[in-house]
Amino acid sequence: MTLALSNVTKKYRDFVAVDHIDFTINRGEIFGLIGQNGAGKTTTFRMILNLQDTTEGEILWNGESVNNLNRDFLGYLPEERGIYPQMKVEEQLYFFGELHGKSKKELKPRIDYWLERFDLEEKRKVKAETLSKGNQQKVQLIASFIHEPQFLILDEPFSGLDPVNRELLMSAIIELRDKGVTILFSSHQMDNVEELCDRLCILKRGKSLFSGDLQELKEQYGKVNLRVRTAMTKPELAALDGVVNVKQTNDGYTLRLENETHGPALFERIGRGQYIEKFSMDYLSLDEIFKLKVGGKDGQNTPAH
Amino acid sequence: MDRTLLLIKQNYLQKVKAKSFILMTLLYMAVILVAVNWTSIKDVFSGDDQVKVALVDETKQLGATFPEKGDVEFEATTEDRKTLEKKVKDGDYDGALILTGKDSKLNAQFITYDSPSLATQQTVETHVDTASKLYGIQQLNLSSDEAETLLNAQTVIDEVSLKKDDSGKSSASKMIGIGVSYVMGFLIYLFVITYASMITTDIASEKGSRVLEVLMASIRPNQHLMGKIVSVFLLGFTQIVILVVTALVGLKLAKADLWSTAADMLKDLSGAYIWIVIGFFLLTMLLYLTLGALMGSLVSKVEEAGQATMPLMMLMMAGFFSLVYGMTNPDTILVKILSFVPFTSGMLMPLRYSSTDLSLSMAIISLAILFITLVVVFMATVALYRRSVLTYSTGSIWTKFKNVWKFTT
Repeated sequence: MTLALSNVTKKYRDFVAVDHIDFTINRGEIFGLIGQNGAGKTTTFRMILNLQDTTEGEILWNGESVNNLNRDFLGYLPEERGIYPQMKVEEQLYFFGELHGKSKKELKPRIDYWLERFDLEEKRKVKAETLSKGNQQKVQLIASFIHEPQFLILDEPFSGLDPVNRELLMSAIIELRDKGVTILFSSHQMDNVEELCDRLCILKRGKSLFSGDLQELKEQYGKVNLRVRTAMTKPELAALDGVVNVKQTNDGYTLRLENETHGPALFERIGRGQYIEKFSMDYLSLDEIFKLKVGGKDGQNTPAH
Repeated sequence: MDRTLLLIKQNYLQKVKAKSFILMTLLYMAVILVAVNWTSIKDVFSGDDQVKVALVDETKQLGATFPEKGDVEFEATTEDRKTLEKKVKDGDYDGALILTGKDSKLNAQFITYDSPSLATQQTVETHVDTASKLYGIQQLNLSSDEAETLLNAQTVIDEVSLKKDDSGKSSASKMIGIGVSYVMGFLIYLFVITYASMITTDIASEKGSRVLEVLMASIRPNQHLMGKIVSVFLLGFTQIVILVVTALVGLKLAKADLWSTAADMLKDLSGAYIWIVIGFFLLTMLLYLTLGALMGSLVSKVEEAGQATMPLMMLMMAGFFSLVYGMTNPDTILVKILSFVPFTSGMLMPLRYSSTDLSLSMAIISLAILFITLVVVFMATVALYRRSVLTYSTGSIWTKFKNVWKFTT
């Protein structure tokens, strides 16, 4: 069970919102779609949801065009939350479930399970508008998958959540994945993406800058992040071979290297054969890669390999 | 369950149970019951307001013209003017009417202390008027039979039209037609304004709270549109049924014999007229609900719903004021034109059909224009709804319209 986008393009009269993007998502996988505001994430989601037509390209679910499919196979959590403010929590969940073709009887055990899991048991009969923002978001998330979709789209599921609720949501998403649900989600917070996704697609102004395995992406750049604690000064560090720039942090320095082969030589120079408290070489974080990719001109700033 | 049906059910139940709907319906029911029982209610409030007028009839012939009972009571007396003035001042009498004959003419003087109400003035005037005529006739020294004939002389005009398909409506049935058309026009106005703005607000708030986006993931835009129109229409229908039943029960139970009066009035209306009124009512309602839905889909949040319904309100008001104007001049060009314009015909065509000799075919043509417009507007709305429902933009309705076009084609 896979979702495959090939060559998908959305053109409006005077601009291109989504420009020839390709990716596939496998069954039971969490796939991240990242990009700044206006990068084309929501448009992509809407095309997958068949709310908007594609100008070019195809979107296939298990080899069949999404345009011809009964949409009960998917669930959707929009970026800006949408629930009926005047409706009771339980009523709301039944309504959305029934709207996706489930009977009340089928829905009951699931609603019971998720309300308890999300600690909303006593809010069952409460109008949605009286809930806190975090609780509304939890209700909304339950509503998006209460009909047991095979494919779930989550647009910014973590925005505005406190760490405890974020953790709760994250474990729920992982539970769904383990049950075989295919999940596509977007987020501005790269740590969320890093934690959840194996594969991702980075969008910038409608164009795909990268699409594939997260680890592969990191390896493309190599282990060029070096964190050290040393008595050397910033100019001294900057003058070393292979160092691109130096940033002072409240716990030493972070050095960006040309490439990871400079590691052993730098260890010699900085440690001078002495005991060294901290010398850590690592991949760039997704956040850093994202800034490099999206901040620079398209296709530039790729590592020199 | 079919999704459109589920949507209709959910929306209908939510609205029918809403406090605002219940209160509004109760208010209308109260208004109807008050109207039906108006005579009894009026009696309760005006029971103590008897006006007592002293009548000094110096001609000695006219006392019988002034009733001793009624809203204004006349009490014949021979007291002199000074005593009367004192009694009026002291409040023993609300006024004193002095009738004197001079040169075959009747002079009347009405003395009051507190300025009399308009109703009292008018009653006194009517009676004095009759008395004055009577006095005039009496001065001609006619026999009582002659006088009677003269007083009761009235000609009934027998209308003969040479046109073959003339409707042959009597002036009485035209008057009733005007009355019924006014009431129907007012009801159309009231219902359309209430329910068109309800559907606009409803869709705008779903759009504003982004529920619509979630809904759109499982249902088609046209299912949503149909769901909204049908459920709001059913809600309006529910209210009409409740109000009609209230009115019928009220008429049946009312003290005054209004039931037979209403039945008589209904008899004067032709069957075709009733169907025409029903046809216009339903189609006008559907037309405005569709437009209301379209307007609701254009705005980005519920706060803008009022602005979006403005053009519809303007159209309705134009129709309603033309109706009020047309009640006295149903044959003016303006009314004639507007009775074929689909947005106003619902209020004006029933009026013209009932109060002029318009043929049935004209009314049917107007109804057909309305129907065709409804179909076209509905198709256009379905086509546009799909695009507008997920487009958020700011600015005037026209700008939004253009944006929808720009960003979705």
